[in-house]
Amino acid sequence: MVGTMLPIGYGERLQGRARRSLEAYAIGSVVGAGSLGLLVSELGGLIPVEGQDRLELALGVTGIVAVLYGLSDASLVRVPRPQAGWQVPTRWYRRFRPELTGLLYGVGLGVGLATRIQVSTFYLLPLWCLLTGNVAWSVFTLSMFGVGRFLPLLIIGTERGGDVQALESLIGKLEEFKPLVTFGNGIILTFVGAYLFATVWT
Amino acid sequence: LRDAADVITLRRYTVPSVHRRATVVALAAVCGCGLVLLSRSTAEVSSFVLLVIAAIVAGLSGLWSP
Repeated sequence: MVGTMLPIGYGERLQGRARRSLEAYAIGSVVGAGSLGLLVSELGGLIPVEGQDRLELALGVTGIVAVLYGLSDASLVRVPRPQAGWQVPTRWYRRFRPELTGLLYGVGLGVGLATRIQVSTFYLLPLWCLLTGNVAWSVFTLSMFGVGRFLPLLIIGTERGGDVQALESLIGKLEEFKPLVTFGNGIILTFVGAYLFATVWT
Repeated sequence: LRDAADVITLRRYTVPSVHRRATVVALAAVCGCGLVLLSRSTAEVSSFVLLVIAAIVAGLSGLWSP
């Protein structure tokens, strides 16, 4: 996404306009992710378990799933990773104004479920929202996913958005560290999963 | 240590051996269980905080999406 969104923002700046596309992308990311939290937690309201039993169910199941996916991200076991694999269309940036393109890309990627899931940590979030059924906490948690999506783009866009060579070099460098990111997610997932699971027994 | 220095300085990253990966992940699991004993907040609040951190990490990892 760095290679798509930042050039759009750079183009806006070349035309002497404010980089609204990045702001729209930020709004879209949070709204898209928050909407998923709302939808999934409302669905979770249909699960006929309440109170402490429900919390223990959420902690136990999410904990086990987190540990399994943690081991998977650390390339120690194979766990199925269901995903749609859709990609936000590149033609959008030719068809729409930069602001609308940013918003649509933000929503499309913020929802998360429709596009390729990069790290298993994402699976934990809708599962947790579904099992707890807590609307406010779910919307907030998934909105934080949206914040995480746009924050690096805003920072890189501010620092290096106009320097194409630096941007290309950064993209190349980021790619080299992809296995580290996956492994890092594996460590965090195992940590969180072990914590969630252990709370059921204490 | 040299590998860690290479990662910190963003020079290069070499995927660790299975043995090392398993050790690090096991350590993370032990730390997760250990945190339960140290945590003074309710399970609901502490798990929410951890899930928020996980959400931000998952979002940041989206930087590597195509």
